[in-house]
Amino acid sequence: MGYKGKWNERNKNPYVNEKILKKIRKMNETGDRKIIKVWDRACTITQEMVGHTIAVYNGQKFIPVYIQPEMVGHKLGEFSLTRTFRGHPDKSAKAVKKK
Amino acid sequence: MEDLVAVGKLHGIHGVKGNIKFELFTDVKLPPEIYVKTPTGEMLKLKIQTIDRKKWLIKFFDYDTPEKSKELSQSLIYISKEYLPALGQDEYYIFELIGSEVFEDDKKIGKVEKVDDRLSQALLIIKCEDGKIRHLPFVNQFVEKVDTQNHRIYVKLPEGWFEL
Repeated sequence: MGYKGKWNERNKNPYVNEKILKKIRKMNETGDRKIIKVWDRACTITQEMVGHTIAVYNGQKFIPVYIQPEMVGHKLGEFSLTRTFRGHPDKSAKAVKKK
Repeated sequence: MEDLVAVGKLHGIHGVKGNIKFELFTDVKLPPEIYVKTPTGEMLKLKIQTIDRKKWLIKFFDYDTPEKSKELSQSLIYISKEYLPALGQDEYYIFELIGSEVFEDDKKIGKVEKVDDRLSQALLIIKCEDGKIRHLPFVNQFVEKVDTQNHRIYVKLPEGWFEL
């Protein structure tokens, strides 16, 4: 058997959790913007999710992620880090930007 | 001493002349005299002899040997606030946000404990009034106004945020 991996990757559709998509579509119809709790970190972000806030489980707690257009095509788990954040030194002069 | 802020960190020694590798958290020009906080908590005022921004090496007066410079490794670099460059619109220093009180419609929600900036979308880590720690994305949709002078942040929370 030859290597089939590349052929498979090219012809696969992105994985999207249907239950999440159903909830998003329902909210898009009603115009609601409630946080949805999600355990499925492998779910791909689609265009319909833009503007919603999805709380993605990182193994300990739910991290709210505001879905922005540039996140489309990535997985939900990429935006909810699993490693513990220890924090910056006191009075750190690192700059952060509000997006 | 009160308005000192951490702008960088000293790492290990380099070579035999007492150079130390360093990093800066922000794009700032270091003044000739800086403060260094050693891992033991001691605050030292040091004079910079040479600084190489390409190789990220720094050398201080009276620290000519690697043995002596090693005492400074893993120390934090502090400078006065006045040397910090002005930031653009919607940009804030982390020390301005930490400790700020969070309000929604004049109702206090909690206090910012940390700011997680590992991803492109920064997160405010808020210790709420009920004792729980919750995260809030630092985006225009939720954070309406940041008052750095009064240490207050005005937010508009998404529905269901308190259930997290």
